[in-house]
Amino acid sequence: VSYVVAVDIGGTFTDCVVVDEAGTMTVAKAFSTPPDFSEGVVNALRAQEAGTGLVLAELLERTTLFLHATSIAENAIVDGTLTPAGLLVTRGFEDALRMMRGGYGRWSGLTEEAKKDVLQGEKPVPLIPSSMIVGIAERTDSAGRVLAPAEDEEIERAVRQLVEGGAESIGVCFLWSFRNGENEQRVRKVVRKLYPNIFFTMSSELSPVEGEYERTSTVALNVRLGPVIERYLGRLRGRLAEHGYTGPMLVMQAHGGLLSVDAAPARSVGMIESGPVSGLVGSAAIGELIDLPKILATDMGGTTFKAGVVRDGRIDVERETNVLRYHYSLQKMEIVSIGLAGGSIISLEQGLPKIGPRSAGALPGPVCYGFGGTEPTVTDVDLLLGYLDSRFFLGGRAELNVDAALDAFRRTISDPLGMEPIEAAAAVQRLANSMIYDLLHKQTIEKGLDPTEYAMLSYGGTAGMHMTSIAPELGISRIIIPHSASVHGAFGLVSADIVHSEVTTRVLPLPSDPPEINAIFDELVARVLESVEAQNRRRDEVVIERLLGIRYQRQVHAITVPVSGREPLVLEDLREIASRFEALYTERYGPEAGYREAGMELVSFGVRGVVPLERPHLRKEALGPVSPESAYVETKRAYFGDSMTDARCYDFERLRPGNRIEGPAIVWSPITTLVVNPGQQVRCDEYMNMIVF
Amino acid sequence: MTQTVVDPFTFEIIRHKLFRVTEEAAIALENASGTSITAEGHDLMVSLYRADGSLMVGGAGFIQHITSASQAVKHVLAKFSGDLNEDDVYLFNDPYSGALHAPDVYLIAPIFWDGRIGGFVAGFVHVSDIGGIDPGGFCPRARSCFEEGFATQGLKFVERGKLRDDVFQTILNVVRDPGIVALDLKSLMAAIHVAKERMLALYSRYGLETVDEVSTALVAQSEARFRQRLSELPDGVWRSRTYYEQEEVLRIELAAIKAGDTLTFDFTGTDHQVHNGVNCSYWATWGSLFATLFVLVVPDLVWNDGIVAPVRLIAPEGSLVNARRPAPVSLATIAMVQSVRNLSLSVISKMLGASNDYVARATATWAPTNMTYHLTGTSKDGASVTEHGTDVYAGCGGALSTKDGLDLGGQIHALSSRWANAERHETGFPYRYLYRRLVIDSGGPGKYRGGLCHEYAVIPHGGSGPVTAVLMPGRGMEAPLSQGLFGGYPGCNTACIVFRDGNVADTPHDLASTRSDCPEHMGMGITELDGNDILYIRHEGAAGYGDPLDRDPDLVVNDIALGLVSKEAAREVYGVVVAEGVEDPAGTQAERLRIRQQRLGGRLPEGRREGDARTRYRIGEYLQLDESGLTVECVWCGHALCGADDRWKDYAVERISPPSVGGPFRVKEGRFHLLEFFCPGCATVLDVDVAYGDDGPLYDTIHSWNELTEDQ
Repeated sequence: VSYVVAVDIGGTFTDCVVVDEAGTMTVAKAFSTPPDFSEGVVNALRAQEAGTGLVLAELLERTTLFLHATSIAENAIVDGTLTPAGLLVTRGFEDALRMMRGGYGRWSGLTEEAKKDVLQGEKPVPLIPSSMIVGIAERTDSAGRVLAPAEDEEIERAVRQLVEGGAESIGVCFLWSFRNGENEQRVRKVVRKLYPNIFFTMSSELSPVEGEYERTSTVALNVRLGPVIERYLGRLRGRLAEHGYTGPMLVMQAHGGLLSVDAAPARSVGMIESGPVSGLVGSAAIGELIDLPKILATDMGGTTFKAGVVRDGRIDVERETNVLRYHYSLQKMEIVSIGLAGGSIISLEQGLPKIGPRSAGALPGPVCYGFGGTEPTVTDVDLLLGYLDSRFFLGGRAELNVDAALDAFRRTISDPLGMEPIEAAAAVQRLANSMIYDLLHKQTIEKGLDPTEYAMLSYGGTAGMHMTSIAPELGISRIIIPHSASVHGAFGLVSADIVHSEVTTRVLPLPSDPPEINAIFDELVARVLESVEAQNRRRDEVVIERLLGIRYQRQVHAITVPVSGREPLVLEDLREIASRFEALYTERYGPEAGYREAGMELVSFGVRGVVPLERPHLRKEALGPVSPESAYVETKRAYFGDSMTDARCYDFERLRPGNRIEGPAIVWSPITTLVVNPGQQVRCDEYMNMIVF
Repeated sequence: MTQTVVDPFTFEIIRHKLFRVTEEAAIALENASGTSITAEGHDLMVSLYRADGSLMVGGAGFIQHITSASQAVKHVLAKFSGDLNEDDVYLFNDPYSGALHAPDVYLIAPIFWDGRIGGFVAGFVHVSDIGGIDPGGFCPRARSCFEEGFATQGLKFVERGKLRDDVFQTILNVVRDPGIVALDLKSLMAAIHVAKERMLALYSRYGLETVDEVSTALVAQSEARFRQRLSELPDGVWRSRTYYEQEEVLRIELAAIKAGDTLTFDFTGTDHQVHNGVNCSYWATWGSLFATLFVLVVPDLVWNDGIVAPVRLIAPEGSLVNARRPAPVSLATIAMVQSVRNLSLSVISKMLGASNDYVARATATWAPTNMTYHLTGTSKDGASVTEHGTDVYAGCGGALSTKDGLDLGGQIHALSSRWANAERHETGFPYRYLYRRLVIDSGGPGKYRGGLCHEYAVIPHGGSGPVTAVLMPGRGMEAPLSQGLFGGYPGCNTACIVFRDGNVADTPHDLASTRSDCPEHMGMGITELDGNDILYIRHEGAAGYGDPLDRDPDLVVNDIALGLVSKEAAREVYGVVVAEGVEDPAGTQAERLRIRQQRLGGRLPEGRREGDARTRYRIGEYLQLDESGLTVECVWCGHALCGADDRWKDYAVERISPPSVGGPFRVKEGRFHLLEFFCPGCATVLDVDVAYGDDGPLYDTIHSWNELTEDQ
């Protein structure tokens, strides 16, 4: 028997999924162990023994593929534990990073409300100080013509100056290098000659897209992050080797695909937030498994609520990607978040209730944990409303103190409002739900998506008490709590594929000469295949997808349209693509907003090469009886609709496939509590997913 | 809490959503736009108005348009009363009845629900041309509004959901680049569509009555909180003055009179309107006042008619700030609208700075000149193309009472502006940038430094034939236009130079390395650029707060390390002595003493007073009334200047200096001076006024200080 092992490192837990040849999945968890996370990995791998019966060495001996996602990239950025780096740029543009496109640096990444407070705006400290940025007297123009070559001597002087100034990695970003990378390649040659082992990034390779600020910022982030990732992955591989594993390893990227561990450091920026993206990929996989093409994935744990959209197996990419307001122009699947989850603190501001963004975190935690928290949180409200039970909460690891929660809530919220505690708690619940609703509304309806066509997939500890009330508001009639909910990120890893993308910018009228368009795609495809081969995969394993960025002529922004049609494309295909663009445009902006008379143009070309990997064949179990009686625990009073009501409560662990429960009801599992409203039903499917409808 | 039958939760939800509607519509506008100024610069606005045209929720973008669009809606309501139908859209751009200038086009749509008007959405973009005598909407050569292009007080643009092709084609027929103007208007249609869809969804979910009730309550809430805030500020009169240099020097004066819970802006004393388009109309002045008021005083409230109610404007008719038709006004947004913004920011900040509770919201002047250009050229394939600059959006932040201004921190009225990348501009127009960089020492010196500006240079490249440039500099080259607060100094002067047949081959990378045999200093107007003509522009730095000698030397050392302040300016302006990157504390002490002594004409200054001696009668950073309320004293040294009813400036040590006292890139001698007022005791600079010729000091008066009342 051979195994695929997936490990996802999160802030609190390191999750592990082991899948055998038959597709049987075993899950395990261990605490994360900063700063050396590889220890937590080993602990999680040890923990799976309970499921597979294999000790660590036995497992790794039989492991054929190791998959990995980690939050180390975003952690390093948040903690500021990055590598000192130096940057070469076009002379005259040395200040691009710190100027941050003028006002953009002040407001980007803020909420609209925060943008109104112009005086309080701040710019983040530049990723690389100006003393470590050197201008080179070189220039390429918009047509890709080199007006001034970068001279070796000048480059050499600059690189030496940077390394002597403390740079442990070097990046280069020249104007228009995405049209012609010649001058950047000269830099690479010099750097390789002088310092063969130094970490090096050039913008024409990492991110060949228009916009010198974003491209420079991407390179800056990558050279500061690269050595950190390189060391981390080296350590992890060493640790696994100690325990006997030296086989292939793939690392998750925020674009939703896997990349070989050897190629990962050069694309370190791609690892930022790849863990949550992995969860989104897992959601898409479950959608495929149980035939749900459109999914609104929601993750609500202790500090943040995260959401993403899966549309016909596809996940949207983010606009103006940034991390801590540092911009980068690599594709990242869109995950939106707000600081609203179980630990969010409830307060009154000028007599109006506010939830979050402050969080009580794990320590002091919600008042009811009794770890010293004094300000009521969403979890305390959930407790007051009668949903939670100590015996099941976090597997019985925390004794929940209702009286303490009630006292705190009375003192700070309900008494000042002159409301009954339960009434106020229910109102807080409604406000929390409406804030989440707004975020989801923005991600769906305001993007032209009709949520009634979607199913909601919900994971994370707090989700089950809120999503069953929010989803119907959006017109969503089905909510799924997946069986993998507790290790959903790791599950996403075993559901992901190897992905390699190439993009280029070229402006051509649409429709235009098909051979010219095909030639651009051919070049991109060749590059994709080359890098896939470098990851020891065969060309015939690759599935190629083509994408076009299209706009009306003279517009600034484009809409991305997937290309379907012949290979190579003929004129008819291009006409069809054009009409799909127009339909999309009208749907978004209304019938009189398109300007057909201007003509259309292609602006960006993308090729995505996908090497599909084997998915776990989750075993179906036979459907049993409808009656859930064997899992019945008790009947308890809890808040439903607009009053306290008797609800039947069940133990998830004792539920069987086929069981159905009618609301009002509560299902307790070690990882979440599911609130089933009156009029709703929950059904356990053959994979032990809970489906509320 | 506001009294309403809608429960507080629904109230919050709807409040949230109304703002979100404007945000989503603005994003649609940005996405659909064809110009760098809209898509990248976010020179746009979308707001919601109530059924009577009053402001419901002021939205994102360029906020001086928020109240102007309200006027536009009221005009449309009056003009088309009885003929307003579902799915109509109206076009409005007349500067004498609402808009700021003709190229600022508003589209306005009623939102019908159950057969009646629930409210309006209005959006704005600066269209690429409007058919005036000069291309691009700004018309330096116009001598009346008849040469400034097409202007309407309301046209039915879309009738019951159908675009009126006759109207659309007529507009395209009078503009220079119809393709891009069509895209401008279409992008506004996208924004209107999105806003309407969201509002209809809101009505459908909560009912029109509930939404109306919430917006009524929001207006009441904003008004109550704004009035409360006003009543907590001192009563008094604060004055500011600014200049506009062209052939003649124009003087614009403003007094803010705060009494109880009302605020009056009085422009009495402002010069008469002039022959060219720098004038502005009444509503443009009105809108510009609110841009600063919103941001400085009520950033946390909903921007609606409740903020408008307590404010009064006195603008003499026929003056620069209330021009009489047919005076030209097309340059207003880069001229008088900006002057009004600078003045209102200055008087409001002095008022806030006279309150211990509100001083944190006072700011020295942000980017004061709004200088830009418009280019017309020919691409390689012979097509005529146009481009507006976006460098102006870089702006720079004025210093606050607790922190430095933001370098290239944007403009105060532009909530979400940014420049387009050089690569973006070079895609859209046949030219290229030679450089774009920070200007060392450009920030106004102070205890807290004003934000730095930048400089850049472009040349025609990759097109055919010369490029026609409409240049809109002309002010701030001689007069310092950023006003420091409580002793802070102005930022650097602007410059606009064409280096004819410049040294392009040497890849110049800053002003010092840019050369030609015949550099031409440009004013407002039109010029042609040939292949090697380098157009150089330096913007203006923002102003400082407090005395530069009061600045923490560590901050100065850090500024030197980051290349924001030169060693020379550190020594001469800040009195900080640095050798090899390290401060010499003894040297600094001696240098600062020397400068203070020099300020007093050789007399030795008094030392710093011990302890925290702040009373509740705050005048500014360094002045207050003593505990008795009878004497004006210096907070720094304790020196008593004069009686509470005296004009303290008459008792301070006054020095007249050239602007260059603030550092390089400032005029060394000319018609404009700085009036510096020093404490006779310690020589701390208490105030710096900008003056033309023989103009004297500005006198403020505070009648009484009020208490912070308990927030209900």
